[in-house]
Amino acid sequence: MIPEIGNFFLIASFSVATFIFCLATFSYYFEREILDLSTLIYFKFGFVFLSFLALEVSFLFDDFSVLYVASNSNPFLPNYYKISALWGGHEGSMLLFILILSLWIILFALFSKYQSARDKNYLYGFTSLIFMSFSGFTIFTSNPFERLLPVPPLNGTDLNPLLQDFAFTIHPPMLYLGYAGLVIPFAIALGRCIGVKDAWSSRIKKWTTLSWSFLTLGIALGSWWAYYELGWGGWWFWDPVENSSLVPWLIATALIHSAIVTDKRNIFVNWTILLAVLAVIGSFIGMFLVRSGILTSVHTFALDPERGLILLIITLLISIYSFYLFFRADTVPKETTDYTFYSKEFFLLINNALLLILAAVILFGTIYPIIYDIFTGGKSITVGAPYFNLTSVPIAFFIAFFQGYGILTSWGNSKKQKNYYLLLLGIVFLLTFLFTYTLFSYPDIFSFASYLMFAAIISGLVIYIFKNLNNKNLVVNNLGMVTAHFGIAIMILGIGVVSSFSQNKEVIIGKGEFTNLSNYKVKLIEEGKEEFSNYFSEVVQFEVENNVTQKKILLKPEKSFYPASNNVMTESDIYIRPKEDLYISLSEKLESGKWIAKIQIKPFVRLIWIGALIMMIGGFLAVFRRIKYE
Amino acid sequence: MNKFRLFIFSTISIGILFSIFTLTLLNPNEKLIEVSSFPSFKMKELTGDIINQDAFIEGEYKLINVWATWCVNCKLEHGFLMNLKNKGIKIFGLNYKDDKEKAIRWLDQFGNPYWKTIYDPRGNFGLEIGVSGAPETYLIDKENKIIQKHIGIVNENIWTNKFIKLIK
Repeated sequence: MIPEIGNFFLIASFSVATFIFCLATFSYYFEREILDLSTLIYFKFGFVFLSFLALEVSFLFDDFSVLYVASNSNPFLPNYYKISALWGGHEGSMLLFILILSLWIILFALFSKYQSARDKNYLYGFTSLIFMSFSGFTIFTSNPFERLLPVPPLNGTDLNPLLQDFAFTIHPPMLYLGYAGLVIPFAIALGRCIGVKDAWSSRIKKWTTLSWSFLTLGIALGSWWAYYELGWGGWWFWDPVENSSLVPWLIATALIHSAIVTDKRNIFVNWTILLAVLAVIGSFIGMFLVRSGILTSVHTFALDPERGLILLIITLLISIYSFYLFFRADTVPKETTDYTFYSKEFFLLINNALLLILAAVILFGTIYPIIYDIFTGGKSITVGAPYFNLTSVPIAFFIAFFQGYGILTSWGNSKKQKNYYLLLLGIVFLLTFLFTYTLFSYPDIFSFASYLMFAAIISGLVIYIFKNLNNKNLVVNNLGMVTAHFGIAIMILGIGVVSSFSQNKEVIIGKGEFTNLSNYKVKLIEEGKEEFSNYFSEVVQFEVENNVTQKKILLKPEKSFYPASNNVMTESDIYIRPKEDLYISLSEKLESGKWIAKIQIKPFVRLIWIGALIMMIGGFLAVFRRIKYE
Repeated sequence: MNKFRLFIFSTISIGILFSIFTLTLLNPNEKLIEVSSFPSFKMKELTGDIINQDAFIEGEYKLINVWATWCVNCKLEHGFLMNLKNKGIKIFGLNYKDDKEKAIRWLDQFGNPYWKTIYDPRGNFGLEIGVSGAPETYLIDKENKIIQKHIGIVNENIWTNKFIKLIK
């Protein structure tokens, strides 16, 4: 009964969204006043929420007559994971996505005041178009409430063990908060195309920054999870799924900056609209790549080409619709604004172009295997880290430079030559750094590039703060920007250090034996088996002794077996110190009873995620300052 | 860049992107698996009898279906396999990483679509023919060569497109 209720409410929300879209379109073309659609927005959210609750209840009560529950949960799963198992598979995660999307629309309805209710109705119409497409997609092609009757299985299967983890339980919701949030600037941009101009660019800036912050957090969580859970010791694998979240992130970053210019100077109007549209299309393409199964990756959802085709058609129709609106829009600014070569506009324009090129390069690398397939017919190839490092590092390098010194420039047609000396100062700073650094050690070109990038951004920020010391308001007003830029610098530093100073060693080790790596002595002291409610595991205890401080610590990497799904997985254990991580993961047990283990030292790896967190905080600071300001 | 140029440029790039995706989706280069001979083997059936490569009689097509009681999708696939059996198609079952008692009970309860079921509790035999999980279905030709492999549930559509056209 409960699943049917859930299904009913899902269909109800789809109908409401369709109704809103049709009514808004009708109102636009026939120029009729219609009622305020806000009430319907709340209803829609209520319906999706009830539907979501119904599925959660089915999970909590182990209702295995529901196919989706039966294939993603089992009675032995702890309740906490039963709740998060809802977004462990394709169907449920679509439901989560539309729930979050309707939540964003509610927030938009609450916090954005428009002069005329009609204008706001149009924007509801655009958001409902997206909602309608995805709730329809969920209902017709991937309905989570589908029943498995007449004979339901007794036990269900296991939630993928990789996903039974804290970071995973919050990673998808954060990511979806980011993706779905981009729909709001999309709607505002389309609204601008049909003439809704109420503070549109500052709104785009605000909403994009907010969803960008969530997207940053979501991606960082995913990377952190991969680091300690997958046991490969890496933090970014250029996996198609990772890339397809990075591409919208890059476009959203470009969008924020372009909206800043539009807001301030009323130029780049077309850029801003186009980027808002591209950000949404980019995230849908990402969703398509992940869920259609045309690319293989570590995150495999249910592979179904038919489903992929429908997702592709939806994305295509949305693109055609928004390009059509963009094409017929009247976006020529009344007065043209001039800007010179050394102006903030120019620097931001360059950076936007570079961000877009970077996004395109990453997208190209991600889909290259399928292009290759089409033209040669067969023989799959993989594009690995070498391509991505080789292409993205140089582009990122220039972005960092324009970013670092761009904040020192001023707006418009300024002939304020005095700013040149700042650039000069920055370059002197950089050269000093470069010289000192090369004198002491030179690792390899990639990490060297990242140190330079770090230095460029930091020196830019330092000079910026010193320059504006007597103008405190400016710094305080831009606190969010300064924080976010600082965050990316920290992250780049972390990437550089990790890639140049990591050490690793693969050993065959038996009970009582030891091995040395850097300052540590690693000794295998005990093996044991542990049983849990839904799995059992082999735990190997290592004693790690720090040769400098003589401090000893126990590390317990595991290899677990999940009988319900017949899955084996390894869980590494990490000795976390402020300076570096010692990372042990098990690979195989040999017949002689010895283990093959991989020991790695990752200096300052935490900087990568701390940097991402700082970026996120910067984003929030920027948004909430603006709300207060308004 | 003026609007028109922006528009043209982005439309063309998005267009190319979508054509690539559509081409891939509509024409999924049926990656024909590399034809490989079926390895010789000696295993036990679920019934306890010994089974070896002689069970695969040359001169006829055979199916091998990998299944287990822990696999929900196998339950979903089961009905279609029963149909195939009723049409007179010889299916060998490969009971994969499973418990013997449970497997026998499962077949008793839902019906047995298999001609013979090879019992592979540790997945060693599965490893030899390249099983990655359950359900999976293999088509073996008259010369005892594996000519098709499908990962996931076999239904009417897949049966017609991936299997029937290879059976001469």
